[in-house]
Amino acid sequence: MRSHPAIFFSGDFHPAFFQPFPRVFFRIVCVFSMLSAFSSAGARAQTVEATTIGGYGELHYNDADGSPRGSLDFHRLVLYVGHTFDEELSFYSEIELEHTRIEAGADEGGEIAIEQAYLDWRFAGTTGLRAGIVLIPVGFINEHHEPPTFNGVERPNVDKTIIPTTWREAGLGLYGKFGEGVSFQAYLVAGLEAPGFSGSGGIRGGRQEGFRSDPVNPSFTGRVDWFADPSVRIGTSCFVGNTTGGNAAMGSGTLLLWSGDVHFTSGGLSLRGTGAVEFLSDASKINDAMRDGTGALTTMIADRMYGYYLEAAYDVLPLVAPGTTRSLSLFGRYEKYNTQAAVTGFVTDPRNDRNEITVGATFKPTYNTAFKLDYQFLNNAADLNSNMLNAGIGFFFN
Amino acid sequence: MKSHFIVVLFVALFQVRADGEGTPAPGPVPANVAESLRDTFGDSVKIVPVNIVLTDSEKAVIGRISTSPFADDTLRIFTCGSADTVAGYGILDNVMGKSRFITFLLSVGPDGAVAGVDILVYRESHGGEISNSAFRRQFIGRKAGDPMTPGRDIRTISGATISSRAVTAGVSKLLAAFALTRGRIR
Repeated sequence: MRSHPAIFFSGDFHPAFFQPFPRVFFRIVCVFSMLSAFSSAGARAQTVEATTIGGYGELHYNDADGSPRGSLDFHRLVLYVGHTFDEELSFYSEIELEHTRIEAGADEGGEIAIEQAYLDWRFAGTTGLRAGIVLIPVGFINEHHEPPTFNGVERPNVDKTIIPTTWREAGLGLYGKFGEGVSFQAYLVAGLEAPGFSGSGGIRGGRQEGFRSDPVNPSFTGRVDWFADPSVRIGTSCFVGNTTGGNAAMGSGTLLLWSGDVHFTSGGLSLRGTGAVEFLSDASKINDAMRDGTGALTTMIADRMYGYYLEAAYDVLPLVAPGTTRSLSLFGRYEKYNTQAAVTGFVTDPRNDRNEITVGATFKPTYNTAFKLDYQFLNNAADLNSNMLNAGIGFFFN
Repeated sequence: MKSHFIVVLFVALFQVRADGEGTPAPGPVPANVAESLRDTFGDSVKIVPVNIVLTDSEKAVIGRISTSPFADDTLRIFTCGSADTVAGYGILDNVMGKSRFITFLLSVGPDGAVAGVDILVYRESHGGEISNSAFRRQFIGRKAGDPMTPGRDIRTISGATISSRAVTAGVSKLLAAFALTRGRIR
């Protein structure tokens, strides 16, 4: 039975591991609100409301070696809709159509989904409260995924498999700054559901995405960024919560995801790195609870998963066209990820221990448009390797 | 206890504030504008707001110089100094971020060079890092017509690209407007 969403306000949380935490978090939110009520007294309001729109999209061509031909897919078209209610309150949303269409009765097709939809109440300077469907602030790509902002036609696979972008959940939380140069985000959100996990896909299938989300696994997610300089951004983020919905046979299934990311730019050089590790308690209980009628394992969920990538890019266009406002970045990226790094009760599948190299180019006529071309070497520990040619366009506007 | 928290949330929800944004000049100098200008030009300066109404031809020239259109008709300038000397000028403006306006103040010295950039009100939920002094310092000393290409001449902040570019375009635009209209400031 699903609990009513009002559980976020009741303090009646389950299971035991997390019982004290949401209450504390909720009270912190309330204290901030109370402080704001006093600090804002006597101020004047902005009365003009305004609605803004924007969006982004990307068309992909993927051609795997050995396949008779490639395929063209308009992967995403996303519409931003925002509204400003007053000086402090605003709404922001992203509505996504994936793979161009959805068709009743069709075996294959896209989806329409809400990627973000939240009220943002910036109640004290740079500090605010956000409530609705929010992006989980883990890793970098999950929050900043407009196609011209990253190299490669496809997002890094670490940012699909280990950090399951675009990861969003219903919840609420705070954001703000600690002095100058350090910012934070902290949310209480509906958690993941362990029955959706898998040995090859990791936690990706456990996302609820705000679709009749069951809040029985309230989870904490947070992020801290340090901006040492406009050229350097260092972030660390986490997601922690139970995943079994109180199913005693599965245990608590507590997931801890810890991630870090670094960005550095200097002249035409850009370096990026992201890493994440996930620990799941009671993975063997979850696997046992999901055995089929014959007693065979249907899932091979791991106790530990991890992934990382390093990317270097250099904008070569100014070398041949000084003063240009366009860019042509040549890049290379190495990824390593394993969705069965440690397991209990079964033998790992070496196909899940993967390493990949992507080399390519991104031409940007403007900062918000991109033409991309890359080639990927997709390898795994089973030596079942493949290569992929990708081309695409991407854009965003606001 | 639960009802107490909900009451507090409702009380806080109805509090609103807007320091210094949208104030037409001449008129009272917004407190955050005065504070920023005194930080830049000294505590003792007298601040006088001045309205400069731009002509269509001036707006067209500004647009060409800065590649950023000037949507507003009025340039909101604050002259800072004493009875017989001008220490500098402040220019208040908004630029559009991803979905909300960013209110910023450009301080210009008597030589026309940037003396400071202050983000007065940042309303977006992401990208507030442009308020960091390390980003804002990059503009100091630049004059109208100086190259200010984001990502090349001005380092943008990773994750705050739109806001970084918006403020850079805004500074470029205001410098062009100031250079064009300076002779009309009384």
